[in-house]
Amino acid sequence: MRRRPGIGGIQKQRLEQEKYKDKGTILQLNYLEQMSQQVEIFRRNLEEFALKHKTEIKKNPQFRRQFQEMCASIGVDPLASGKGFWSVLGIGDFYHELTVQIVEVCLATNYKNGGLISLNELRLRLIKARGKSIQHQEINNDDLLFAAKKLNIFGNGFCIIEISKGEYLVQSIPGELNMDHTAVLQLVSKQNKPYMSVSILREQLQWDTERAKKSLNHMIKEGLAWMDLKNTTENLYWFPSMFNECINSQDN
Amino acid sequence: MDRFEYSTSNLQPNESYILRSYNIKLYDGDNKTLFENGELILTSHRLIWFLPGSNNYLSLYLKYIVYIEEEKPNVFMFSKSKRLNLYLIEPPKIRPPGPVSISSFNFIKLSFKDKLDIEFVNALNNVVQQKKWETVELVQKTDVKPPIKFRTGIVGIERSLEEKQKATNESISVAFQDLNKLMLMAKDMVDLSKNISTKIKDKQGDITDDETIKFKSYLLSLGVEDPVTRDTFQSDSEYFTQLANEICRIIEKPINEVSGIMVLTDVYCRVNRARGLELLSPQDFLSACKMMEKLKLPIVLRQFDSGVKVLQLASQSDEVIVDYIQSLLIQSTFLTAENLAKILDIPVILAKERLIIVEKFSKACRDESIEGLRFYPNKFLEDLYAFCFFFLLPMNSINFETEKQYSPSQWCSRHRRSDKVEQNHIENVTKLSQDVKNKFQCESNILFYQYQNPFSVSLDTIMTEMEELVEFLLEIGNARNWSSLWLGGHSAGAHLAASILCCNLRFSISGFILISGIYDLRPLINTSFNAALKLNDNSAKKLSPIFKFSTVLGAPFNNKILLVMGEFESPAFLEQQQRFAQEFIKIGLKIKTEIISNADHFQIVEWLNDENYSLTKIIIEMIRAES
Repeated sequence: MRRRPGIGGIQKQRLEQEKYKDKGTILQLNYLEQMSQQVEIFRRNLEEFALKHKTEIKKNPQFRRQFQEMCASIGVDPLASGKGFWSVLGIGDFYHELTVQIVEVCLATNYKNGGLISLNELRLRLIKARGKSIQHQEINNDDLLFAAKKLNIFGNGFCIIEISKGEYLVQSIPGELNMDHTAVLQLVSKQNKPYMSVSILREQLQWDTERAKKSLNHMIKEGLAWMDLKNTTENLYWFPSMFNECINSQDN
Repeated sequence: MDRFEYSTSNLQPNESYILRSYNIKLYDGDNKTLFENGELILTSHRLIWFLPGSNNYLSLYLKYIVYIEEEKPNVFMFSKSKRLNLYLIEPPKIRPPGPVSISSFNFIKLSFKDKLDIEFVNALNNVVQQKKWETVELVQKTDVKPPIKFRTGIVGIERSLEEKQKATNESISVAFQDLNKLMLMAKDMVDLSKNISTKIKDKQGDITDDETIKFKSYLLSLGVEDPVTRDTFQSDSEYFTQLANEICRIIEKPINEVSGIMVLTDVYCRVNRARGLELLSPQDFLSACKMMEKLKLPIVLRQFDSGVKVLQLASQSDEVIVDYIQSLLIQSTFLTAENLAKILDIPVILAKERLIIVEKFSKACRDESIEGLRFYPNKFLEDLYAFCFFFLLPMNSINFETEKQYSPSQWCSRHRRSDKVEQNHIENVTKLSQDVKNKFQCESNILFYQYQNPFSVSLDTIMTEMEELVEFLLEIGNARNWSSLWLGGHSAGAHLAASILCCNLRFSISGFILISGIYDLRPLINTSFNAALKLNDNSAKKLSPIFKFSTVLGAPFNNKILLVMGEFESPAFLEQQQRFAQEFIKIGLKIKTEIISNADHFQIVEWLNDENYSLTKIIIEMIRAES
């Protein structure tokens, strides 16, 4: 644009800017229209999809997992709102019921394990609680993880701790577990015996006595471990949250 | 592609030709190969591909094929499918050479240039199912029975299972493919929406409000987490208002049953159980709860510092709760979260929160140990006072004559029972001190210094503590410009005050008021008190002020010391005072001694509240005279 000097030039410049802004708005409007159209198409497709595959979603856990993974990769949360598009799929009820049941199981076992329950134990209890029909037994660990993550927003301390590949602990009482404590839990689950002692920690993890004692004492304070004074050599610390798991793995 | 082998066009024994197709391209997995525009021959045992006119033949044994499917076209491809996917099993390690030695894919594609030859596909399916190569092998192995029977036997069962599996696989893969398509679309929309939302953030107001709202509703329905829309939009919705009302209705009665407060997870479970169908998602539920305060519903959402969220009756206030818990604390010495939860019948997590709030209000102190977290009532009182009055309660005793004399509760003539005396005394004095506190603001106040239980520590330690206390008071006094600091004590307190007189601090003290005190500890060795004091002759001498007068020489305390006893006190006490007074006279110090008529060991201080009481007048006169 040829720049004219003087007031005329300034005015022209201003006019140009106005026009650009208008154009931008128009383009933006186009964006919105485009979006609305796309949303419509998407909604139709989703309904078709739901018609065809609704029952499968409910029955097949792998399918569910695939679905969740895809949603996560895109950045969409199908459970966010009961009024949203995804409610057509009917997965909302399934997951929300699962959430409620998870909370109930955790509350019931809290007095025993101090608020820390292994995912496997949680799953077994849920299957027992949900009933004998095959459909109910088809929940797998991914479903549980997905549902449990949702509970975080209530601020009640629900969180998932990974202690090794594929093994998780669900914590339902707020409490701080730093890396040392997690390492202790990992070791307990690895060694297949649900107890721990200072000497085991020193051997396996090469920790010094102070560090080992501090971690174990913290576990007792939080109610996650029980102290056993009967052993003649030294104190043992037992972890109720690991009991079932160890039993299960021994059976295999 | 590594399952292919070089071969000739000769047919193997028992192999029969079935069909031929033209213009076929081979794909290794998803990748194109160089083998295009070839002819494909289907036999009962193999697929043979070759370029017309060449002598190089590639053959694929049908036994490698586990699954055949037509490739579904893209959304954007409007033509019918042209490709056939063949899924293959792993090749044996040792096999004849082929065009490709190693392939990372476990499937190949046959691409039909024109369109999919239905005939060919059907034929291929048939042939693969028939598995003529297998039956041949079976016949070769067992010459006994005709092979047909074996097919319908175990092999037949296996085959039917396989078919069923294939069918389910097919339907699932169809679903997966649909899912794929759906997700791709969703992804595009999400990207677009992100674009728009950034635009909204940058130039707000260039889009009209309705459109913004529409846009936000799309995002909400999609379930996209977008900070721009989250708070503003959701708070205005009709839907959430309805939900909030519903939740209130469901939860009002239960919440009243548990003293007005419930953890949010609990409420969520109950609400969903009540609904049965059409359960609420956690986000919806939370948004509805956030609206409750705006709608002025009787229940509100509240968040504690630790992040725990609860629903609480709007009518509950923090102060009332704090006071109530404080009284509980005082009653039961200490409380843990579990105890409080049992007492109040609320969940442990709430009890903990309550205790933390009480701590915030400075009414409780925490004690963290391996046994857990405990809360004690806060004994550090806030007010500070100038007139220091030591006070020690007399102790219980048993019947010896010396005991009796040194046990004022037994000597007391007013009451029948000695323990009642103490109780009475405590009550009176407590009440009196309250009265005094109420009356006087700055000038004369009383400090209750709780030193350690005399039964658990030695007298030495107590005395050291006393010295520290006096130093502390002097510091404060200097800071606050007190004109004088007078030190007084009653009974054992007088002993302590007198000990201060004999140490270095006395130069900063303006005067001493010693009431009914013991200044020579030796007689106490023969009483039950010694079980706690553990004195022997030497230590008693060391701790008795009466033996320390060499240090008091030259102290400027003329008329600044008052020794006073009640008329009805035991002879032992009276004698103590006399002997002590004598010491002062010996070193030439003028002191005041008084006997208060009609007073016993307890009344002598209980009456101090009375303005017309003689001792009160004497003390005030002394203090005034000095200043």
